Amino acid sequence: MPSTIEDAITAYVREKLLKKEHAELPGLGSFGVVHERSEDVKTGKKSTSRKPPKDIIQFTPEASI
Amino acid sequence: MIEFIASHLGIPISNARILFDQWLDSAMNTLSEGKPVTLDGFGTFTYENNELKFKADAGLELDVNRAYAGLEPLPEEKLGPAKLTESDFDDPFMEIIAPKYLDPNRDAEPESVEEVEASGVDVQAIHELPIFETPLEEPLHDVTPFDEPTPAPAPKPIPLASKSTNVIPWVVAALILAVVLVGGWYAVQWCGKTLESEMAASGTSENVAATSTAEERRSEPVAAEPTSPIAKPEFGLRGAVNPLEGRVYSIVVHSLPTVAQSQAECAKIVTLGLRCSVVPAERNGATTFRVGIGQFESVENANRSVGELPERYQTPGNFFITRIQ
Repeated sequence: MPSTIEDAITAYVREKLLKKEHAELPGLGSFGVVHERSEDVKTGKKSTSRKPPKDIIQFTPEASI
Repeated sequence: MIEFIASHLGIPISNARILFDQWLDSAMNTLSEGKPVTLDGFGTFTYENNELKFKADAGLELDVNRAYAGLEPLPEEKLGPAKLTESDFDDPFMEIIAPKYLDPNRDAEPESVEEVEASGVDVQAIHELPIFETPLEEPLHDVTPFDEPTPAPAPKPIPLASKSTNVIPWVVAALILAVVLVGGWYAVQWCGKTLESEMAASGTSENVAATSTAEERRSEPVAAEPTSPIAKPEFGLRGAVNPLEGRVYSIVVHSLPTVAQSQAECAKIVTLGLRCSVVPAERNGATTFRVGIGQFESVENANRSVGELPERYQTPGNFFITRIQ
């Protein structure tokens, strides 16, 4: 069981993000998970590398801030 | 969110809201002072250039990307399904084939012939690698051997297509040969029958001609002596009179009014070993009986034999050659 408010906030946001859902902290902003697909990236003139897919945690601050 | 905090802290919702608001005020004050606000296991908030920023905790990012854990950017050389993987290097022949790949600090797979040769690959050794067409007597790996040897695989049946491909030319050749042989046999049979029929037809006409001729001038020759049953039908001056087919000439030495007189003369000639026959002939309404010596297929042959006659017959005017059949 979380013992502090910080632990509770962390647990809430983690749970939401692991479910790929949005988590909102009123007065601060919202969090979400954006999926980034695998893609080929040029690493030189004739060489490329393929980036693996990735989920990025995206934070959008509240407009009032 | 407030309900979540309340349930997890075990406090009423109102208290949870108060606690959150207090934390938010505290955090905003810290941020406004330019200090970061860090939540362990969650991330860090910063306020820079009048903008609130957040950097997620590495552990949280890792948890969020658990489905893609361990994935790293692939270099170009490893792209594609045909590229080797680490598991491919368990091959026992890898030391010979591509020792370079056993080096953990290896570079990319050589693509050109020059690179392959430069990598130390023993091409000759690759060509000399054994090809196992039958089950190995000893397993390459630690495999419990069977009590009984594994039976050799049954030989693969030869595809029907290739079998027929080899046989068809022979079958065709045999058929052609059979057709040629049968055709040749029938041709020989047909030619034989044709010759027989032609000979029979010519013989009939000759007989007709001979019959008609005999009605006009002569009849069948009368043998002076009985012919030998084993005498061969041949021409010549000497021997017995033989029944011959076709035209037959003889040297006539007597032409007498009666058969008896002619046969008497003929008997004398036969005693000389000559072939003699009596042939009736009609002349000026009277029948005479000619005594002919020899049987010849032509006048020329008869002339050649005149020299062999007794001297009394060789005198010109004492004989003449005529057709007796």
